[in-house]
Order: sequence, then structure tokens, then C-alpha cells
Amino acid sequence: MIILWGSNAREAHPIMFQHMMRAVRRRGAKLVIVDPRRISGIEFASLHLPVRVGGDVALANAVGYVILEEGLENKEFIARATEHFEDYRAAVQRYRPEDVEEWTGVPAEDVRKLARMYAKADRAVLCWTLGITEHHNAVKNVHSLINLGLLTGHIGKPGSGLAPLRGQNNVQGGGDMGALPNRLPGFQDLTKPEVRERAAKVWGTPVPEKLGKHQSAMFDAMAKGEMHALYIVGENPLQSEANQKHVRGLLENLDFMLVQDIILNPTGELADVVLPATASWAEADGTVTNSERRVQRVRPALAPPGESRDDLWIVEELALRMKAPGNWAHRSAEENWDELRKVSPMHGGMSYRRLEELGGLQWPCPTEDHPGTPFLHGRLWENPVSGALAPFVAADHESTAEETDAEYPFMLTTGRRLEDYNTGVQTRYYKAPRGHYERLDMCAEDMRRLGLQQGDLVQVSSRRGQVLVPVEESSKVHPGLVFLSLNHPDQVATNLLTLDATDPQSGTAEFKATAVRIERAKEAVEEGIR
Amino acid sequence: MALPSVDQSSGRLLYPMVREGGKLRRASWEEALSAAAERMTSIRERYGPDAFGAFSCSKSTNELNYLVQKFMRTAIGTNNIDSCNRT
Repeated sequence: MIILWGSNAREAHPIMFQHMMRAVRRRGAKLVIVDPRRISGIEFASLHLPVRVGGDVALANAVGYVILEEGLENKEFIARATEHFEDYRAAVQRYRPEDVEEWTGVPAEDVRKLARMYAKADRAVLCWTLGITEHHNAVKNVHSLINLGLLTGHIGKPGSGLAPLRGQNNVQGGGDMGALPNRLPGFQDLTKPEVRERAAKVWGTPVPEKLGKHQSAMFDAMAKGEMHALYIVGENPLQSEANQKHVRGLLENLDFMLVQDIILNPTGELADVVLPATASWAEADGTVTNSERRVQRVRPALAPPGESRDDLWIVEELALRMKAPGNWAHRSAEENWDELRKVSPMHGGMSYRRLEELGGLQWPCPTEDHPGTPFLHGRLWENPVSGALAPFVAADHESTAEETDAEYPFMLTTGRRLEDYNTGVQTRYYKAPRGHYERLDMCAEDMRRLGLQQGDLVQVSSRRGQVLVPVEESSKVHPGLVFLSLNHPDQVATNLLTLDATDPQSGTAEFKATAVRIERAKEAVEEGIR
Repeated sequence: MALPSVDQSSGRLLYPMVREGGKLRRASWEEALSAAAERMTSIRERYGPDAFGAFSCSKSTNELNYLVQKFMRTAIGTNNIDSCNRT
């Protein structure tokens, strides 16, 4: 059984979705889709639960309620491998599916169906993506799903697990390498002195103790005038961040912005210095880490164009010119990797030679005779369990940061379309059979009610901004819900509308829920003139 | 071995640029790198390391992400580094 919860996998993870389809078509796996929209691929699903935007915790808790009510939980696993189960049991008592339909948006009978299917499945994978994490209560959403894995024991064994699908070829690796404000390489806790000391010894200079700021907090610091310089490598925050008007002002106000990229995107146009880099997937030497923690080699197949240069050389050259303390020198990708292996114990056994011979290794892999770790939570099946028990973390339903009201009666949810990738910087140049264009997805009933025809230009307004976009009839959205992608920010700057309410722990903004008003563009313009 | 190069009609950046009089113009690597190093050094002296932030790239290699965080933590001296992997 495969559950896609808040994941538009067929459009946004098309390769992964092909693997899932192989399981569905050839091996009889059941696919369940939990999503506010009738997303692409729904025709292959045994069940679709149209969760209300922001209703994920309530729905997950309702599923947990049914599993417990019907005695379908994995009692042996819960007793041996988990803790805080009683807190969880108490918390979900308030989520009888019939009582919380208004929060979940899902008929109670379908909640019960999903609960029985999941609890009784031999093997079940629960996958999620940004539909879960781009909310102001993202961490609670994630905990509510993890709780279901713990309740049923669908974790840490072949064919079963909890799987946040990663959005880029190396999202996993970026975090693993310590490109995080509170973690050193190997996902090690920066607050631990022994962790800082290990890195300091290898780098030949102390590691700052003070925790850093995550991306949203950096924008707050810019607003307060505390942050003056920004170094951006291969990102387009001007167009990818929520509340775009605010972000532009902050970037323009910086004393200095350095951009290192392969393409001059609209963020780069605001930079003070732009350095042309290599495309990691075709021109760079090194490694990347995929969704299953597998580190794999990448090698250059092409020479970088024009004067563009190897990214590692650029960073090293900057450090050397700034007379950085420590062991900075020009090194090969492999030499840098071998240094990382000294800083990060979980990568210790991953030499380039082994990665090449074995076609990749999954961390943790501490020593050169270690085979890697295919199942991260496999230890939960040991008896007794070695190390910490897996905690249930009870979570309660909360409203979205913005609710619809008389002035802003539609809920806008955002995402990606098949043809394009994020802000379109790398994909806008390719030919696409359906073309690169943005439209507002709206259901036939709402279009009739507003007197709109296919292709009519509408103005979509939120409390922060407005965009003009043609409307297109879509069977994917239900009455009251509309959809825009962020793929074509030069045509339709969707993030002028979105809200920068962020999860206090993860720092991720609620891109998935914005209250908007929709008017025919002509009328909206005339209203503005009066 | 000489590798073939992509024929880039696709907006690839082909040379360094620096801002002058409000506009980006073509520059040599020497000019761009020394401008970047000098500006960052002077901002660090004036406002301290925590006046800096960095966004690293989840499309690039582990080795690059490793070096960018090492750069921020040692050359600048701050933990203000993030990337899009928190979703």
C-alpha cells in the first residue's frame, strides 16, 4: 500500500511516481491519495480523501482514532519500541471522524476505510511532501503522520516506512552537509561542544557557538537592519519566497549581495557581484544524496560554458582572498569529501572508491567495512530496542493562518505543474507540449457563479498583493478552492499573494493556504480608477 | 580529455559581473573576486560576522554545500546558513 499525502507526485515527482505505478500495476499495490485537489494520477488510486486545506492533523488524528477504536494498532510494536503512547491515545479521543468532518473535509466513512486499509496492510509506505510541510503548523502535521507509522508499525522494514519525498536531487545532502543554522556536517547538533571541537580540529579554526538564523529569520534580521550581506548559491529567493513585495525591498536594501549561479535569475539581477558557476548535474565532480540517504557519485560530462568555473574553486578562492583562518587551500572534490568524512562520523566509511564500486552507500556508514544502512529505523524491530524509543508526539488541529471571509472568500493553494521546476529558471527554455503558461485553476461551478468564461483575465487579490491571470476550468479543484503554481513568476507572481506566516520550528511559510478575492480583471481595474 | 561544451542559447551565465552605477556589467574574474572579497571583509569589520547570511543550493553537490557552510563558519564566522532542505 502506498499513501501519497499532500504530494502531487505524478507532476512534481514524475520519476518516483513511475516506480509507484510499477508497484500498483504489476504488483497490485493499493494507492491512496490524500489531497485537497483531485490531482493528476487520481485515476490509479483506490481511494481519494479530499482533505480540507489545513485539515491534515485532524484527519491523521481521526485515522488514529479509528485504528484504536477498532483495536487495529500494533500492540507489540507500540509496547516494545515507542513511548508516550498514552498521551497520544488521550489526544486522539477528540477526533471521532464523524465529529471532525468540518475540519477534515472528508466523509467519516472514507476516514474509516483508510484507517482499516493502512492498519491491516502487510506493507505500507506513507509518503508526503510540501502539502504537509508548507504550513504554519508544518511540524505538527509531520508528527501527526509519524504517529500513524508508530501506531501500525509501518516503519523501518522492507516495503514499509515514512517517506518525505525530496524535491531536488540533493535536498537531503544539503542538510547532511551542514548547510543549516543549527547543524554541523553529519546533521550533528551544533550546541554540543564535542561536535564543534571535532570540526574545529579538522578545519584548524574554532566553530562559532551562537546558533544561526534560518532563511525566514534572516529576512526578519534584514528587516530590522541587522543583516547587511547575503551570499546566494543557486537559489532564487526573490521569486520562491512568500510575500514577494516584502522580500524585494529587503534584498534591495542589503549593503552587499553575492550570487553564484549558472543562470542570471531575477534575484541575481539585484546582486552586486555575480559569479558564473557549473551545472552540478552535468559539469561538476562530486556526490549527491537522494531521498533514501544514498550517497552517489556525479561526474562531469560537459565542460562548463564560457568563463564559468568550478564552484569549489570559487568558494576556496573567496576564502583565500579573505585570508580566512584555518586550512583553506584549493582541493579536488575528493579531497574535500575526505575532509568531510573526518568531520561527519556517519559518512566516515564512504570513500569515493567504495561509492563507485557499490553504486552508492546509505548513511550511517561510519567505517570502511560498514555496509551502509538501508533501513534507518530498522533498530525499532530489535528486541529489546537499542537506543532511544520512538516517541509519539500528540498534535492538535489548528486553523490555517489565514481563513476565508466575506472579503477574501476563496482559498488559494499553490504548487507545481508538470512542465516546470520551481521558479522556472532552469525549465522555461525547454519546449513543453502544453507550453509554459500560468492560469488560475477554478471549478466549473465557481466560474458559472462569477460569470467567468474559459481564458477570462481575472485579478486575484490577497491581503498582500494582486496578480492578473487567465482563468481555466479545472476538475482538480472543488468549489471555494483555487490553484496557482509558482512556476511562472515573470507572468504571474504567485508569491505576491502568499503569506509569510511560518512554522516556529521549521521556519517554512504557509504557501499552501492564502485567502483571496477573485474579480474579472476589467471590473477590478475600473474599480481601481474610481 | 577535452570535454564538449553545451551550446548555451539558454541564458547561461558566461562571465562574471559587477554592479556599477546601478547596473550589472561584465567583469574579469580577478575584478569580481577581489570586489567580493574586499566588500565582504569591510562589512565583516564594520558589522561583525552575524551581519552575513547564506543560502546554499540543494541542486548542487555535497562537496559544494560542505564548502559553503565551512566558508560561512570559518571565513565569515557565523552559523547563518540555510538551504531549502527544511521542507
